[in-house]
Amino acid sequence: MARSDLQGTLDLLVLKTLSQTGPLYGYGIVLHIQSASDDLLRIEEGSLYPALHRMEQRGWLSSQWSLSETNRKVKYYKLTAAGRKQLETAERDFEQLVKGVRAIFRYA
Amino acid sequence: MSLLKRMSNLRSRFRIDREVKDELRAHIEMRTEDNIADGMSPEDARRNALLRFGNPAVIREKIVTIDTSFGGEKLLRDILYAFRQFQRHPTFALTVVGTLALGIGATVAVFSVVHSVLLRPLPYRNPDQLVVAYGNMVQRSASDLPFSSPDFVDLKRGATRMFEGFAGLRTGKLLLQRQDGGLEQVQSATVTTNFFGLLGGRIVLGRDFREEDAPLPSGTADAATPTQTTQSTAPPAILSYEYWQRRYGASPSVIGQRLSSGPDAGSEIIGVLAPGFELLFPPKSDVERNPDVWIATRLSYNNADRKTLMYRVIGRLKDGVNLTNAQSEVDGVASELRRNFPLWQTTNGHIQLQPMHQYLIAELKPSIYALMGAAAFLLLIACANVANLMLVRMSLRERELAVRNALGGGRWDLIRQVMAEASLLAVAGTLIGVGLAWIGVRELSNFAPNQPLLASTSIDLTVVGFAVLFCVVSAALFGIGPALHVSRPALMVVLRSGGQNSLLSGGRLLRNTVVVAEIALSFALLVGGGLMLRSFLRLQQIDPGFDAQSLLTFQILYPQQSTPEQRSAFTHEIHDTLMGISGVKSATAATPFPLADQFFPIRWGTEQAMSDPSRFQSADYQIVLPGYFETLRTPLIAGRTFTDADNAPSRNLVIIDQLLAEKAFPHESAIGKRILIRLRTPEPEWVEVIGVAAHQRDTSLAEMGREEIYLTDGFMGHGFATRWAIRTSANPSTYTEIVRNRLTQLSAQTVLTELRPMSGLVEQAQATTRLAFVLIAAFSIVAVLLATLGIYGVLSTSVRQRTSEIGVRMALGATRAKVFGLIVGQGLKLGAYGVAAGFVIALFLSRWIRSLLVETKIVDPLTYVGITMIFCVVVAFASWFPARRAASVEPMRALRSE
Repeated sequence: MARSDLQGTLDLLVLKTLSQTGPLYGYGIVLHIQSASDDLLRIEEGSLYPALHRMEQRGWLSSQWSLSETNRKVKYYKLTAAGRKQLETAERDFEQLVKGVRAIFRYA
Repeated sequence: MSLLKRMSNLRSRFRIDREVKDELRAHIEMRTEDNIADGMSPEDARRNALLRFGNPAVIREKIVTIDTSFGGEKLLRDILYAFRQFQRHPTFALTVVGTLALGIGATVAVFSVVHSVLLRPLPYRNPDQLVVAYGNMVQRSASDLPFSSPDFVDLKRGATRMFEGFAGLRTGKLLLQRQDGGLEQVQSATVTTNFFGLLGGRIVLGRDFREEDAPLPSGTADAATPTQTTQSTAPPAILSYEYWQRRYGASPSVIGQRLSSGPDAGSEIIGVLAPGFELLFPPKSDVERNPDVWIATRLSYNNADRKTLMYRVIGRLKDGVNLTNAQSEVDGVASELRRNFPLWQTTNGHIQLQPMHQYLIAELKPSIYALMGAAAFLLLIACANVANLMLVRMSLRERELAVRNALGGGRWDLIRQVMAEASLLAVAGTLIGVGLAWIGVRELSNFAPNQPLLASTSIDLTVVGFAVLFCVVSAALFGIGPALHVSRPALMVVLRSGGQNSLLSGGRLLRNTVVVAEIALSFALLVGGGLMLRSFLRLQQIDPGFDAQSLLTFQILYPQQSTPEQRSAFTHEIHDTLMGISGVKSATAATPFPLADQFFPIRWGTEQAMSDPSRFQSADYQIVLPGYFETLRTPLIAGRTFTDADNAPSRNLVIIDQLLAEKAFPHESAIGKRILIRLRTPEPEWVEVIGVAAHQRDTSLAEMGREEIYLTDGFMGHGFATRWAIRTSANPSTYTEIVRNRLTQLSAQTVLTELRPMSGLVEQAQATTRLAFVLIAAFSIVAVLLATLGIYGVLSTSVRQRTSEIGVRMALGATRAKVFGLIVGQGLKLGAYGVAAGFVIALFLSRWIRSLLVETKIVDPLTYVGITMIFCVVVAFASWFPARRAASVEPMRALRSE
């Protein structure tokens, strides 16, 4: 069965964002998700960080301290090969979840 | 994130805390700035940023928990689970750990030997460039000869293109007179002045020798008599660090002092050597390993000295010079010597080079390779056994594992679980194995004290690293097979098949082969052990030509009195003193003494040798006091023994042993005959045979040894027989104190050394055989244990596999006895194959240990028959338990479980 819960969705969003933008810091990820979803998706900004660190532990992301465009010291996250693979899986799972949920909606 | 990084995270929680704080603060600040840019007031901007963010403290705590989690909880859980498994089945765990400990222990012990003997470079500067040079007399088939002083000088001067230089050395014992008038015996080495420079010996105090200390002689002196050392001042000396500590309490003021306070002034001490400097030579070279005192040698360049072969020679090759080129340069020197000197010509003398390390280990190498092979085989077999046992265990848990799989345990989870168990077993086995190896290695150095590198074997970091490697490799070897087996996604098959074991169906041929190989190898090893045991027993029964019981031996050294009369009188005093001790039945002295690691060669001939010098032959000689044969209880075969009257320089009388008598005067009595010996004078002289004694084994118990000629102390000029022996009426060890006291009373000037019962010398002479026996026996016992386990493992597996078949058989009327016989028969079949293969291996390999055997034939029927019987018992024993289990199968249950 597809593993889909809220946390999984957040992971998927982050992975997808990083695959689209390249290396990015936490605040940048929040802004990207907001703007790319036309402000539909607003995540609690703080909850992003435990997810980032967990994914780093799992080897999906790697991180590095560097300077932002505004010359602030920030921690950049980058997708690893394992992360890219995980993204594929998560996308597929998500598609299935959506399909499943749609089917139920239609049935009703 | 790598495991390493995670572990370092564990250590630096504080740093993580700060980094997380920085990361979160940056976020809030960026949001605040954006808010301000959107037109909020600073306070509102910040409040809004915090609102959007959530509680920073709570989030920070969450993150830190994630970062510092080891990620190894799963691993830990697996290990704990494995522990519980072993607690539940301690026999299995103990068997596996014991097997591994034996295999790894043997391998680690052998590796530590290999490491210290074969791999570790010699403790000298650039040891690869060091070569040992020795003489070969092709005509006399004598090799590994030391150099004479003039030959050394010729070599040094003749071979300069390929060599940085040559150093010569000889070792011996030196009697030093202390200031209080007492005497002290020390180990001494006499070395050329360049010795430490060439080998890289460091001087920690004072200075090294300089060439001026003992300059090379110039020109050729053709004096007819050998050079006497007549220089008034003795050459300088350097102390070993250990002797300096022991004797001088590490006092720096030792520099400039005299070594000996006798009238001959003694050597001036000019330096102290760095600790631990050793002379590494094989035992056959007769070189002391740890000299206390190093004295510069005065080389002579006198042709009359060419017969005195005494210097061991080490050369250092120049950078980039290979051995072949060096050898050809040395060959040039040798051919020059052959052209110039009759001794070199008639003996067809050659000079041979050998890398120092190779020279040192040549004797040991074959046995070490044999040990290495045996140990590697042992470890492989141990792993195969453990893999077998693991499979049996896994088969019992197959359903449990299948259920876990069905409940969502992934394939990887199962593999990890099995590997965790394997690792745990391997770690425990390795720890115990290293302990065993440590004990073994310590025993080894006790057993082989005179093999320099062998004695210094120890378990060091490299060896421990090697053990860790073994641990990993063995865990992989016996873990991965079963792990892959259980993880096979054939779970439905397992669940459906009930009692049937899918696991055990494969690899049966392989397991049988392993068991047959184990039996064959342990059979061969046991044959080796049996042959060594026979040799060892034989050695105990050998008649050495003397009676070692109730004999106390010791060496008495005293300053040389000037005249033979004085020396003779003092010898008498010692004799009378010893005889005055109550319980001493007789006393005598000889040099050299049987089994005391020394022999003096002599050349002898009969009438024929007068006209043809090539008819001279080699024998050994001993200088003895009258009463020698009586005290040692060496049987006299013909004639008479020495009397006091015979003990004089003018009496040219000898006693020969029966071997020499048979050689010199076959089929006739030797008594009254004359032989020629060359000893006191350069020209041979006639001596008359007055007696024939039984042959003594003087240099080794295992071999007959050479013919012996006995001369009186008086013949040599008195005072040369210094090794005494007293025959006591009670345990000789109880006499040591009284002997020491009486001799000190006699003269404070005497030094008493090497005080020990003769039986001690005999034991020492048996040491090599005992070592070989113990080693081979230990290996063979381990091998037999492993083979027993192997048979047990295979049969248990087989019984489990055939449970339903057995059930059918019993339902069809097979008796329990028949089933029992079926399984035992299977074991015996394996055993028979193994023993047959073992026979062949043993016959093939036993020639390797021929040199270690003592009067035992390689194909010893008693040994072979005895060991075959042992194996019958072993196989029957190992088959017993599985067979009983098979016989106790309940047919109904076995069939129902199908």
